[in-house]
Parts: sequence; structure tokens; C-alpha cells
Amino acid sequence: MTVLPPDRCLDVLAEQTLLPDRHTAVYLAGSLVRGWGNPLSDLDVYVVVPEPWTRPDAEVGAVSVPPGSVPIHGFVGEGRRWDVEYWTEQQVDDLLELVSWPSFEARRARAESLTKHEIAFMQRLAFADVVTGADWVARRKDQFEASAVRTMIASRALYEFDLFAEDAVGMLQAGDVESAVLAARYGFGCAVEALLASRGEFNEQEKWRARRMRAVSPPELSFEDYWAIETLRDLDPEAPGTWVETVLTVCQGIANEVKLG
Amino acid sequence: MNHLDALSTDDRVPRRRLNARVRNFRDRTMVAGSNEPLELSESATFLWRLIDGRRSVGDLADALCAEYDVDRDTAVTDVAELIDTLHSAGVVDC
Repeated sequence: MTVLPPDRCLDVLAEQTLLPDRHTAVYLAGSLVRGWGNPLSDLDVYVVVPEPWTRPDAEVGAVSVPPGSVPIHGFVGEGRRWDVEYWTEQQVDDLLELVSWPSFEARRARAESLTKHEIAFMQRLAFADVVTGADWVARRKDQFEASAVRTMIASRALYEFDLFAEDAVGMLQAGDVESAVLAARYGFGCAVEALLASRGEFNEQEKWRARRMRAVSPPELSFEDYWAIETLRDLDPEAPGTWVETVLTVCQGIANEVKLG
Repeated sequence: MNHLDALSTDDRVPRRRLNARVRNFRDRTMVAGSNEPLELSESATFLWRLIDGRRSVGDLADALCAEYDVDRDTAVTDVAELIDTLHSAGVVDC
């Protein structure tokens, strides 16, 4: 426990009348837990419950598993904003089934069908700062790590890269160099996301890509090379087409290294 | 001189098309251009990763000889055939 003592976390939730009597697990997650936080960062809290729990003033986050949403309660405590999501055990079971290998191989689910709340749930579980329910969290963490979720998300990112690469090449051929630059830039982001996802670092928020690159430190792409493209450092306004071709070549090299399955 | 003869002179320099698609799923590597996807063998995958617009067919054959137990004439022929196949699949220019 590093962000907040467990007892204090439970006390704050109880003071806010946001701690269900029956809860399977409570854990902290997000940027603060990963050491990426700042003074204005939210504290993300997950509460897993055996049966649905909410209050009338809850906001809702969309999920693909029934009933299609999770309640979210926000408040300010301990000097920062808390966002507390309530997932039922059944929703976690359903999500696990959705990203299972049989589901992936039978094409019953694709990454496109997952919502940002579901992707964040799975990613954050891997770095959970457990308040209660350590056994449950550890078991679920192992199950999601063994699932097809990395491959699902990496596959989607590669597919999106393919589309941008196709666009960029066509735009260059048509002389639409400015659009080609943007397509190559977006495509690069997708290729990097595919590489990171295949290594277990998936996240819907692009703002953390540099952090995740440093965390994974993939041998196939140095941080310096990554950062040069991400920040358009070597884009020569007099020869943007050359930059596009260079970036697409780098992207293709990345795609060659992404292992799925 | 036919296409394969031209390749066997070792001076062709193949380059992957920038919009060629590649997937490594478990132990299989697939590439695709505008045509049907093509599954690569282990040695073809090895060569595919070396195709960079700088290495010639001869260079690739040398690399194949260094990696696999194959004589150079056979390697040149195999590389030439692979490049021809990849070209037909729309994933390599040469």
C-alpha cells in the first residue's frame, strides 16, 4: 500500500457512504498507483461487489457486459478527486469470458466491442494497489494476463495502422503530402500501441504513451527514436514525403515484431 | 533474360511496400498486399525481415546461407523465387 493506508481508504469511502456492506475487493489504480501522478491527479478506486450496488446520484460508465454500465461515484477527499467504479463479480466474469481465447478464436468478440471502462479495468487490475480482497485481485489478475486481451487490442491497433499506412501511401501518390504526414503520424501511434499492447501495456489514453514506452522499453524501438517521431522532430517542411516514408518504414519494422497469440 | 534470371544476377534490391501488411500469430507469419494473404515459411519469414531496400538478392542469399545449411546457388534460387512470389503478392517492389 503506497498511495493511501488501507484503513484510511475504507474510512473515507464509509464516510462518503460509498462502501457497500458486502464487498469482494477494493483496490486503488491509475496514474497515482503507477507513480505517474501529479498534484491534480484523480484517485481511481475499484470496488467489486457480489451484487449490484449504487446510489441514485451515480454517474454511469458504459460497458459491453450486462447490464451495460457500471456506476461511478466521484467526490473530493484527502485533497484530491476520487472516482469510484463499482463492478459486480458477474461483470468481471463476463468480461473475462469476453476476452478469453475461445471467444477470440471464435470471433465472438473484438477489441472494438470493448469500452474504455473495460479496457481501463483490465489494464489497471494489473497494477492494483489492494485495499481488501488480495486473493480475489491476484486470481483475477492472473486470469486476465492469461486471456486474449493483449492480442485483441494489439490486433486492433495493427489493423488501424494498416489503414493509416494505406492512406498515407495513397495520399503521397496523389500529392496530398500534408494529409500523408498526418496519416503517417496517426499510423505510428497505432503501431506503437500494437507493440505496447503485445507486451501487456494497453491504455486508451494516448497521453501515457511516453510513460508506457519507458515502462516497456521495447528493444525494437528505442525511446529516443520513438520520441523523435512522436514529436515530429525530424520532419523537414521542405521534404515531408521523405519523413512519411521513413515513419512508415519504422512502423512496418514494428509490425514485424509484434507477436500475437 | 527472364525475371528469375535477372534476380539470380544478385543485383536486384527488393524493398517491402510501405503498405504491406504483416501479422505474426503464434508461430505463423502472414503478409498481404492488395491480394490474398500469403503465409511465409520459417526461412521466408527470416528473409522478409531482412528485406529493407538496401540488401540485394545476393546479400539475402548470403544471409540465408549463414542461417541455414544451404549452398549458395540454391540460396540464390530460393531467394529469387521468394522475391518473385512476394512481388506477385504485392508486398515487395524490386
